[in-house]
Amino acid sequence: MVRKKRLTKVNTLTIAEVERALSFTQPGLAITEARDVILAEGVYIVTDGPNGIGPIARYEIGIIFPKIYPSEEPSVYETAGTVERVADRHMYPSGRCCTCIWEEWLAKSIDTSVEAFCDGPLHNFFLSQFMFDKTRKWPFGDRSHGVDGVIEAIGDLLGVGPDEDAARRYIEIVAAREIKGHWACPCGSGKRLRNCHNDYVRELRGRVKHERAQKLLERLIETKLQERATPMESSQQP
Amino acid sequence: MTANDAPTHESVLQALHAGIDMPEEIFEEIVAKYESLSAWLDRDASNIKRYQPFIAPQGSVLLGTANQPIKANEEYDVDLVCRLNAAKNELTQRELKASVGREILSYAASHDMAYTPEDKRRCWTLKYADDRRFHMDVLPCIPDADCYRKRLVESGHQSIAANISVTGQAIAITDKTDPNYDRLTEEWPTSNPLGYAEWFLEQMAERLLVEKRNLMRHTTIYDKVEDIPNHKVKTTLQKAIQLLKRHRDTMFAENPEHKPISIIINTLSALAYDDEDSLVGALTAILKTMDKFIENRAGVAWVANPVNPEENFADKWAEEREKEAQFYRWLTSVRRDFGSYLNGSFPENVPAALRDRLGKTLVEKVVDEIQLTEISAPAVITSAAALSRAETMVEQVRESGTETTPWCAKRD
Ligand SMILES: [Zn+2]
Ligand SMILES: [Zn+2]
Repeated sequence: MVRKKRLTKVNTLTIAEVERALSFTQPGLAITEARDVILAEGVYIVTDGPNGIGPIARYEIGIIFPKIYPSEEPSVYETAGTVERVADRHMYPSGRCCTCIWEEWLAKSIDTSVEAFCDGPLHNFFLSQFMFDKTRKWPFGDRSHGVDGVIEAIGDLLGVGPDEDAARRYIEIVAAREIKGHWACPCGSGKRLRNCHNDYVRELRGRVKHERAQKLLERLIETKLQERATPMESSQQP
Repeated sequence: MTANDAPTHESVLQALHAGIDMPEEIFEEIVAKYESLSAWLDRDASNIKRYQPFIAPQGSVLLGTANQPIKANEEYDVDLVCRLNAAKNELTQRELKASVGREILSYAASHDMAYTPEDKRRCWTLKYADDRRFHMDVLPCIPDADCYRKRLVESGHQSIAANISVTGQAIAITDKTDPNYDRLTEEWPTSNPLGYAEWFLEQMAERLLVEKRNLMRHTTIYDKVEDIPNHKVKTTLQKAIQLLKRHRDTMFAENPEHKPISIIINTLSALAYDDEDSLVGALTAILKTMDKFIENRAGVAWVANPVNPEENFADKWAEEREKEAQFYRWLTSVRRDFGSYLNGSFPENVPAALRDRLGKTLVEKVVDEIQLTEISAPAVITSAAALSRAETMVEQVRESGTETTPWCAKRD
């Protein structure tokens, strides 16, 4: 049975969409096309709009939008080194910005257009950086690094505690194509789903598309695998 | 602007708009001129008097989107319809054009006009003496409401067909290049500029009413809001379109053949407009979304005429890809130029690109006036003010439920 073939809509991101999202609100970014990606480079402004008092802050950035967006996430770089490139600032040494857990954003957002990304995670990230500079606090919180952060994200999304096993069971049942009442309830009570959190699970499945949950599950697994490799690397440099 | 008001992006844009808008006295002069022509066509000796000739403005004068010409020696381009109450089986396109032409020529002769009216492809062009600042393109036409409605129904647009104020004004026009130009036939080229204007008014009806109510408060000339003619007030949609058109006109001053046409800018702007009460708000809405209203009909870019969706205002794009490319080139540029000012600059600092597009002299004059009346020190972002604004932004994100949290996977 070869039923598992995933049907992904072929949807190529156009430069017009990126222009629409950025040219007016971020006029300092030049937008160009380069084979399979669309690039936005230049000065990013944090602003509350035309109000007579100008922008709040400026960052030099570059964004790479893959044309298969949103299947693949855009990469955002801070290019001037204004933000310290340390994990505590959610910056990689390369200048790459950890805007969000991509799959979490996809799972919880109805609108996942480039415009929504720019008005959402991108906007929030630089607003957060500015706020962190001033207050040493992340205005929307921040996730623990690595796998713990993904577990927190799943917990927040599905309303379960930050417990890896529970998160895993819940995200799996939301990711399933179909569910059966005789399955074990993800809450861990040992009861069948139909006799336990049946309504709650169906409500979750109504809220989060199973394909999106599957992607978040894959992110959890992938992050775990990466983490297993990391201690070996870091142990070489005590 | 009063002396104590700090300048805002809004007040600067409003002043810039006032600087490019067609002045009231020009409008009055245009009305006087076409009323004089109308009286001539309707005089007893007129060969078309029996057709009850009706003259009305169409295009930018009717829509209230006419700008002053860029150069001092340039003329306003005034478009008029000249409708005769005749039927298609009474005369050919050529006969209609000629009978209107005869009266227009005799009008010019008896009114000491310096130039003989010109017989163009669809219209007659009346040129006034050199000191006049406009010429008029008169479009001879006859009513065509029934055929127009029938075609709308046939193509599945029943609801537009049922809108009498839109379809009732459809016309059949003449076109020298039409194969039926000399034939007595039911097949005429059609158009509906007055129906389009009706649609345009509907898109800004609420704002128009607000503006008229505002005017009522400041004048005693009118007894009631309904008495105020549309041209006495101007909505944020009209003003935004005028600024966009000015940007386009200067951008394409050197190669006008590819400049995006006004009807496309008007239509997309009106569709993107959502009754914004400020000019900044209207421009923002329009610039952010106007191209979303370009449809893709089986691979063909389509800017549907809202009063006749089977007509594509962008039909030239398919023949000449350069036209489409230039539209998008302009859109990117106009977004960036207004965005650099509205999102990236202080109100008194109009960036060079926008200044050049809207007219250096005008912008400098407006900014000078602002700085004369400006009494506060130059704006400086204090750290505390910036933080409190950022806090408000954080609050807005929370309210809209679009919070996102940074996270690193640890590996790059
Ligand atoms: Zn991080
Ligand atoms: Zn349960």
